[in-house]
Amino acid sequence: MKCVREDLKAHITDVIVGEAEPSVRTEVLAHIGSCASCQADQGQMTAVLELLKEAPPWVASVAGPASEDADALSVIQRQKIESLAARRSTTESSSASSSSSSKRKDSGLPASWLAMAASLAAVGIALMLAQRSGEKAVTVESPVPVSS
Amino acid sequence: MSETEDFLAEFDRDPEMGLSAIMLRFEKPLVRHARAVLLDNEVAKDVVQETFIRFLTEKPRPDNLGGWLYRVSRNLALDIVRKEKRRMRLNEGLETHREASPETTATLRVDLGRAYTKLTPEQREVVFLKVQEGLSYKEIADTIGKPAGTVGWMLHEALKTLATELRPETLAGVRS
Repeated sequence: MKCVREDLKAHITDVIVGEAEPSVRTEVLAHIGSCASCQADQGQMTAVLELLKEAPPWVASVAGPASEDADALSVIQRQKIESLAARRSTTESSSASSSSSSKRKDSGLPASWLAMAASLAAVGIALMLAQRSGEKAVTVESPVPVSS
Repeated sequence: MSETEDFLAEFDRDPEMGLSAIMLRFEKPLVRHARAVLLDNEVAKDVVQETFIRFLTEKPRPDNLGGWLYRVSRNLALDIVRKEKRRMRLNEGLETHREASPETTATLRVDLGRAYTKLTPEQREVVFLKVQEGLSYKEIADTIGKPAGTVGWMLHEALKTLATELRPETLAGVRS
């Protein structure tokens, strides 16, 4: 009872799980109707799939405690993740506030220009004060006679 | 708005709340997925913890958040399988656990569990994603980075191996 249509045999699983193209599905089902080997394969594959659903080997109860929590992370694992999220939350909120405060202060000019302007203003004021005090000194030191 | 967009938007607004929502949705499926590949519950949880940490540190903007998490988790799990050559030791450990299982379906579980360990980690992953998660070949292909046709072939080979490894009376019991 050896099957000569290995090409179709390979699609038996696709048909069972509903993934076969319609034309392939039709061809495979027609072939299975007349091939004892493929009928046996179909029966086996279907049984294996049912077995996997009935007693899934990846369920934690097989290898450990049988409870819903077996699929959940431990408290310590959760805490590690959550603390990382909290740090991210803090970092982002502080960087957001510092960027918004810098936006408020921003006049549109580079900081070096502002510093230069402030320096020039300071020099100008100093010169002006010096000039005034110089005028006073001249007045004191060499008074111009008002009358002869 | 897609599920991924919802999750990422909430995460951007409030990382702590956003992460809670993401973990509520993906934590347990990811643990089951990693366990299906690794056959070890504790190692699977470590893998999922690392997956979420990577999400936080890498700050990805994927189109499909679930797909991204599954991919990271599977890569970590397969790295463990490859680098530490855990598979044989884990399989032995799993078989020991199963033989000691007191459940009424113990015989069935032992038989299927033993057969399941004969699959490669990649085959176990495909079987898990199809049977447990109900993903399509296309969705599985996106997750594992292989063509959909290859996914179908891997599933077929995995079921054939299981059918060969299972005792005839176990299969007959299902069919009767």
